[in-house]
Amino acid sequence: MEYLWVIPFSPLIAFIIIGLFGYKLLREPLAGIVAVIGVGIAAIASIIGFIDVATTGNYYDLKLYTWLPLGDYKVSVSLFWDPLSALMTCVVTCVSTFIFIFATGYMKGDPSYPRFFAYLSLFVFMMLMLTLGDNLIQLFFGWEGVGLASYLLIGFWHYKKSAADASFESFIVNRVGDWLFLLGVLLAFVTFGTLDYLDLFNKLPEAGYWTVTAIALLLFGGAVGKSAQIPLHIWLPNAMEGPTPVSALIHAATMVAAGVYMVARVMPVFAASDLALDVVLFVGTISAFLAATMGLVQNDIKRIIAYSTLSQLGYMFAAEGLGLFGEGMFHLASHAVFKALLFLCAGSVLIALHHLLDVQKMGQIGKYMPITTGAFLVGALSLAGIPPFSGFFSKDPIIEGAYEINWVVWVFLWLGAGLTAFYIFRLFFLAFFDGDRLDPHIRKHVHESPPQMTIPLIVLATGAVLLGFFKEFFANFLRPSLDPMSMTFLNEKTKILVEEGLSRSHHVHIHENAWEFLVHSLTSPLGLLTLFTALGGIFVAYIMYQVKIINPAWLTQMFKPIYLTLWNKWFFDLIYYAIFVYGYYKVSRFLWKAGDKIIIDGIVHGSGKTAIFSGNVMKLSQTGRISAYVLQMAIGMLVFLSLFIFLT
Amino acid sequence: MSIIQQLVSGIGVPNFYVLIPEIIILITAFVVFFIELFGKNKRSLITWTTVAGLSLSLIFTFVIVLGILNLITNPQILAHAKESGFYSFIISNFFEQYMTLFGLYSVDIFSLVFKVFILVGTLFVIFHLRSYAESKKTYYGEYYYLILFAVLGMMIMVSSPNLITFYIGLELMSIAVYILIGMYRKNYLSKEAAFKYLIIGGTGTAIISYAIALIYGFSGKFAFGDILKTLFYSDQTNVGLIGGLILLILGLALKASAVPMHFWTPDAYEGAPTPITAFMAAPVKIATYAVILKIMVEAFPFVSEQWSLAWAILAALSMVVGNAVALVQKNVKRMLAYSSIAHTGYIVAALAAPTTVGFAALIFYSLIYVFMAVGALMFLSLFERFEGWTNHIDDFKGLARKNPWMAFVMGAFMFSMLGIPPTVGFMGKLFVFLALIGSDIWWLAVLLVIMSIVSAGYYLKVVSNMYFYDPAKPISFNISLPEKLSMGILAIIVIILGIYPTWFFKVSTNLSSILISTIGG
Repeated sequence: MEYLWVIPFSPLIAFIIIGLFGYKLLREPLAGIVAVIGVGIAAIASIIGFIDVATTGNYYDLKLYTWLPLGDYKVSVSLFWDPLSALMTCVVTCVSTFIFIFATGYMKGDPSYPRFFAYLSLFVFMMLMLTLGDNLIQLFFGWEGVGLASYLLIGFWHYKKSAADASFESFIVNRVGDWLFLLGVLLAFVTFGTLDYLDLFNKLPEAGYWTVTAIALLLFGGAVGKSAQIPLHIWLPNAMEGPTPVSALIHAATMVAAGVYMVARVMPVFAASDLALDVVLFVGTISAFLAATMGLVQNDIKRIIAYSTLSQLGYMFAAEGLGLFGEGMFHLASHAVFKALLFLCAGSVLIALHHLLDVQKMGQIGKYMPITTGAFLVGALSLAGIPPFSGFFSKDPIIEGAYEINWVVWVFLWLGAGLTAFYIFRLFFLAFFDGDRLDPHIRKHVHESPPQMTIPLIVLATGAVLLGFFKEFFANFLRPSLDPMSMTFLNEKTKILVEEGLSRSHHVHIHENAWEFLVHSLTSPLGLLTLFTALGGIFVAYIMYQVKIINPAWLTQMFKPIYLTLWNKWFFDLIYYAIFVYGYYKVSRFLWKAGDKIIIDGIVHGSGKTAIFSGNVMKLSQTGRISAYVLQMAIGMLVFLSLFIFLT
Repeated sequence: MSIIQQLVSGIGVPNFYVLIPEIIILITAFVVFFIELFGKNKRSLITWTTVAGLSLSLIFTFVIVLGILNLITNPQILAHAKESGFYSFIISNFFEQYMTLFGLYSVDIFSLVFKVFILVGTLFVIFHLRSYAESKKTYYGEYYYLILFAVLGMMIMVSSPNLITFYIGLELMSIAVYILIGMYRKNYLSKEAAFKYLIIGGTGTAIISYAIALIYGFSGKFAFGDILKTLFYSDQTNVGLIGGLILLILGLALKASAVPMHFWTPDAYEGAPTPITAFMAAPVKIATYAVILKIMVEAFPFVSEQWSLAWAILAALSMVVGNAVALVQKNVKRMLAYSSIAHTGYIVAALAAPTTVGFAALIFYSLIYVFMAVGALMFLSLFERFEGWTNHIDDFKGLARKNPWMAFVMGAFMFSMLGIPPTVGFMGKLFVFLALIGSDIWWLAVLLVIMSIVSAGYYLKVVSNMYFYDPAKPISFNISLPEKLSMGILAIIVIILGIYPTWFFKVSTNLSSILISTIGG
């Protein structure tokens, strides 16, 4: 299995090559091609490894070298290849490959073309370090690395003030989560003396309940930041300032799903504490619902899809909180495909419309761009959860499972599903059909995108249609990583502990075979209710925005308070601004006015000033006269000698 | 091994062949001396002879390493080794020690590794020396053979099994360095620096001689092993012993420029021609650290309580004074002089924890320090050649725009000295920190972290000046490709070792166990 090392390092090599020779030798098409080859090799290697794990059910723990010895524990650079990491790695590399190909067309003519592909390759490398590590330190390294790459790519067009601000915002908000995550890692190290997943899992029964809960919650704090869950979600919509392939790759398919992956990766830790699972469940549910409501009233094509990402990530966390880890990971995979597809379609539209973002100013572009429209329709149906698209097979089990475990959660997830169907088809009708609101100057130039952009769309759309039918395969495939009784790397005690933790989902029965599940959904009242809710959402969008029986403006007037709440995103941004920006300013002004300038000065500059002052004092001893030097030395020697001779 | 052994066995001294690297350096020094005296158009010839001598010596050092590891041997043993596991085979020979000159000179892997780093560091210095000296119109052939004699002194120092050999090596090195500092003949500062160092270095020599006399008076022995044995059977709180030990520590501290014996350092470093400063900051320093470690561990393990406390105090003082004064320096060369005092603090702090881990940390840090110190000072020596460059902190403004590669390189050295991952400086400080915590010396560990944070104040000023400002002076830089390349190699080593320190760490751990194994041997 040594060949697996190719997976993380081929994007790294691509990054180094582009970084060194990007501007001078490779330039426009070649830099992109090198990046595509780098990630393509990783994709092929990961598929081969995936097939190996799928056929044998083994897991591999390969260590490259010890990076850092910490007492008895050695942090190693390693590669842990089990079904879970194999699935995540395959999702990352395969989706990246198509997005890279798309980006070679999307970024055409950009003066910083090589820089873009260098950053993207760096991102993929960091993401793979995150997914492949066998210990929390390597995960954290990748975690910070993808954060850095995301920062660089959101601010890729750094001359745009909004882009620079958004990248800064994402960086700051993520730091909050990362600090929590780091504290969790430290606490885990102090408690268990190791950070390797396998050792850590097997030592779980030794630790107290509250310690494990604290570790799990701190780690989850990192996931909340990275996966943009409420209350740390505010950076993701603004992150749409980055180029669209970046939004598709980092802020939809892979990086934001890292939090979901991390929770599944350290599943035994979360399963050992029902409080931690409940927190995951409720944060996920609230995010799923609130983000869906925020998405209802947005007008920016990319932000609508961004809110749907927030909402779908909430579904994944909710699934994990319900104990349905397999379903959560399957939704992650299918979401990666259809959400990347939706974003790339949006990118294709943006290229055609010269980066016009407002859906209210689009309309009727469907007839100029048939492939994009078709692909977008597939993605939208999948997101709405209409059979037989993949979203149906991955999202409906979560909603049905919630019904049997916790009905409050079910209500929110069910309502969220209806809202999802509504807002994505609102976008679909407004942008691709409906009346002709498009600026005539722009309409003259609207055209279908070139093949290097449409082919990835077609491939991803095919994936969004077919993936759902592999439901049973994925469930069986993930079992050795997520079903405690089949996890060969756990000892008996831990198995029992984890089994107990997941007992909340034991009575849930979801058909694993895709056909059986389909038949079941179409015959049981619960399945039909979910399906008709989604269809209802689409229908309402149709009558409001296509045939216009109900006037949206009238609705807005009717429910003005609700509309304003949603339009202002439940006032999260305002509250944060008030507390952190304005509040901080006020407080410091108050302190300053109160004459406490000394204290602030003391804290901020004081330490520096003390050091400089003492430096200046000590500098005086450097007189430049030899006799003074020798005298001082002699005094030093005298003190030293008397210290040791008379005191010991 | 056997071929070389036969070649020199005629001389009649057992194991004489382990002296070959030293002999090569000595012969080269004389050859360079004669070329300099009688040759015409000799500049290239002198440089290349020196480089050839150093390289040849380096190669033979490697050959002896392989010989000690028993890798140059008949094929049957090698084949057997491959079967039984290569690593264990190497380790089994790792602790071999070869004494020669009838017990006055010892060669083992510990001293050989330090010799390798001394030679490599010197090669980097030689590489940049000529263009610097010529641009300052201060080229003299004496540079080369004096450097070679100093290198010889260092090699003797790290190989010394007794106080007399050590003293001879130290003096050979010091006297050569006194003259080297003053080589900048037309510069008053350089002459003043040389004179100061001569006086203070002389004081240091006097202290060390007196210390050796006291220790001899106590034990009647010079050899480290014999001192240790006497110590074992006698009163360990004897005034003669403690006084001698403390004086020896202070004398060594003077050579390593630890506070309060550091006064010569800023003036000497600033006054010396910059390549010589680099020579003093890297090879000379690590030879001193190596010999400090060797004497402490091999001769005085039974009084480790005393000397670990003494070094802890010296380390703490050096860190505080070095960093605090560096913070107010405007001249980067002088700033680096104080930073080298601070680094002496970080490095000898490891001696406060007299354990295998502590010794390994000291070895690791001193070996990696070569790359940072040579790199940063060589950077200055390259830039000092240009009209208008004064080493002032403002001269660095906007360098990233004019010369992005060199700015990146300097950035790497600064980050490494500051100790930020993924540079190797982080690993060095981390290992010292872990060693201190492992021995429960929290006060020094915390001080080390605080002082590292203080040092960000001056290291990052260089980086931010390079990256966040517009160029202040219209200086044009013209740096040739080999020069850029050699600096790049150093910077890449600093980064790669930070990502992959494993091998280096293994080496230093093994070296520290060699030292321990020689106790009582």
